[in-house]
Amino acid sequence: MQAEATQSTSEIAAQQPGSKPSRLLAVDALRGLIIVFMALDHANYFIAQKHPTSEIWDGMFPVYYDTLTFLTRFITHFAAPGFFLLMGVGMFLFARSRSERGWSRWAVIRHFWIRGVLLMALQLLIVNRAWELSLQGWATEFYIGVLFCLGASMILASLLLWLKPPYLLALTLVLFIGTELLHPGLGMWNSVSHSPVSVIHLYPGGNSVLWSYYPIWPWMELVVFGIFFGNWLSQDPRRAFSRAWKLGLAFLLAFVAIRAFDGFGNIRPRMGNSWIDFLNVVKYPPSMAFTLMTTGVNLIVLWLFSRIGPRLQPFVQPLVVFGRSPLLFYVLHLFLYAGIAHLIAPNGTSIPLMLPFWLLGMLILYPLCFLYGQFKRRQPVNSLVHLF
Amino acid sequence: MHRNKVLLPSLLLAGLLAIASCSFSLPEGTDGSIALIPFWDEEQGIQGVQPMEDWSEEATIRQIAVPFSSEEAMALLLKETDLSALPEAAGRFKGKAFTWTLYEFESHLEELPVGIVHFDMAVAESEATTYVVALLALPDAYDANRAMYNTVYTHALYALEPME
Repeated sequence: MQAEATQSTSEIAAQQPGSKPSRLLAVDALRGLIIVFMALDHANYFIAQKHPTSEIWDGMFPVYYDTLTFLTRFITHFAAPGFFLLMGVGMFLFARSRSERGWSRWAVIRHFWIRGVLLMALQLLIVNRAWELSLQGWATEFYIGVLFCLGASMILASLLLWLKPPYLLALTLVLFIGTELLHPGLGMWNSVSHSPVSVIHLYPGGNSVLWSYYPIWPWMELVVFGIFFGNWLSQDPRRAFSRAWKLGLAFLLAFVAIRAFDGFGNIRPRMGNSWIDFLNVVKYPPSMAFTLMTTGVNLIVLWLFSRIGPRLQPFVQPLVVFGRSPLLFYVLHLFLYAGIAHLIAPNGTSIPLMLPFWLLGMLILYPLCFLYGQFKRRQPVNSLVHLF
Repeated sequence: MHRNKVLLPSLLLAGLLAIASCSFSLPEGTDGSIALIPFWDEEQGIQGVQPMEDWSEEATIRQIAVPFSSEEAMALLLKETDLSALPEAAGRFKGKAFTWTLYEFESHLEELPVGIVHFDMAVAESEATTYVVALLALPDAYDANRAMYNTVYTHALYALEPME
């Protein structure tokens, strides 16, 4: 999905004297890991057909009476915020790398605008065709999904790449708190407009013509934070990764506090008092609780991957392969799981029975991602291949 | 080395495809989640959560507030059943607004001519108002869907509160 990070991380590894490749391998490995989780969510959606109602800020909300069903959904929550975060990181590293090769700021911005438009077009022209293959039915004519939002965020964030870190941090906080303030509490839902402009920019929701789960501004906070973290990473990777686990831990503590208080920061109140209800947070848009929980874990996992030595690196290599061809994986896996569902599970299946087919999908895509990654690495830096 | 990286997954893939081709149309599984939606009942002055109307053909959940003491409210309820008295409380449940006393029993119900009905019922009293949440289900359906019904019931108990 953010193929630019593939280049940038490897380039930075080459450019940073004394930096170990494993440090920047961590970025690709984390991206690969969240791709694997994302694939589980989509296998659940297409094959098992046990995907719960979305955790949206208004209307219906899912509650669980089966732990496996909950965990299968919960573990996939780390994917979307991870993509936005790592896109910000990758954008910053790419811009820095290209600037050092003599690209002007305008050339970098133009690159991201082309890539952003490409991602948005892919969502509307290709990816939405995959969603329409859903056996549960698909009623939306124009769906604004994660790829569209990533593309739009990329275009906007390209203008922020040269902001100083304090400004980036301030903007992250404004977007982080602003998302919460934008979404009124229970009882005021009907007062909110669902116009096309608002669902694309601010509020998840819509109608049968236009539906958005990923309005741009609420998700921008993670891209901007990613650019901020990219600054740290480019200055001193070791220190940046060390800060990652401390920051991650602080985020998780803040999540627990916000969730226990069950007020501001949750967008809507907890549905119950079980441990599942505690972890079952509003994702659409990313509530403060959701962002803190997922980004906290993602940062800690990023640090863990940065600590992996040469002996353990072969074990994370498959993740790195996925992490270096995210866009190819994303587009293909949706059609693949939709196809498997039509072949073997027209009425859905249990979650345990879905799991082998989730793995099968990744085994099919692994060699394709591997070969595509190799091909891409052989292309010159100005090649159009790097847009995909 | 690159060959091995591609060869191994390809072999695994071939094996799995062979398995997949044998398992024609996998059996359906049961759901593990249900969607609840908030409601506001201005007439009764309560708010909480409930499932969508078509959530079950064999069960229903009622959430009411009446301006009586709990003894009066229970006396009225018992008239609708074939019980002479409520069974002993089965436990207590702490919700957001109330601590509920829980009852579980089976009875005929005059307004529902469907035979025996399983009751999960919770009662709470506050400021001269009695709050009752009752999940009514056909016994066979209750046994088959106990986890889902219990989830709907406990989440309703947790969320029910006087309107702000």
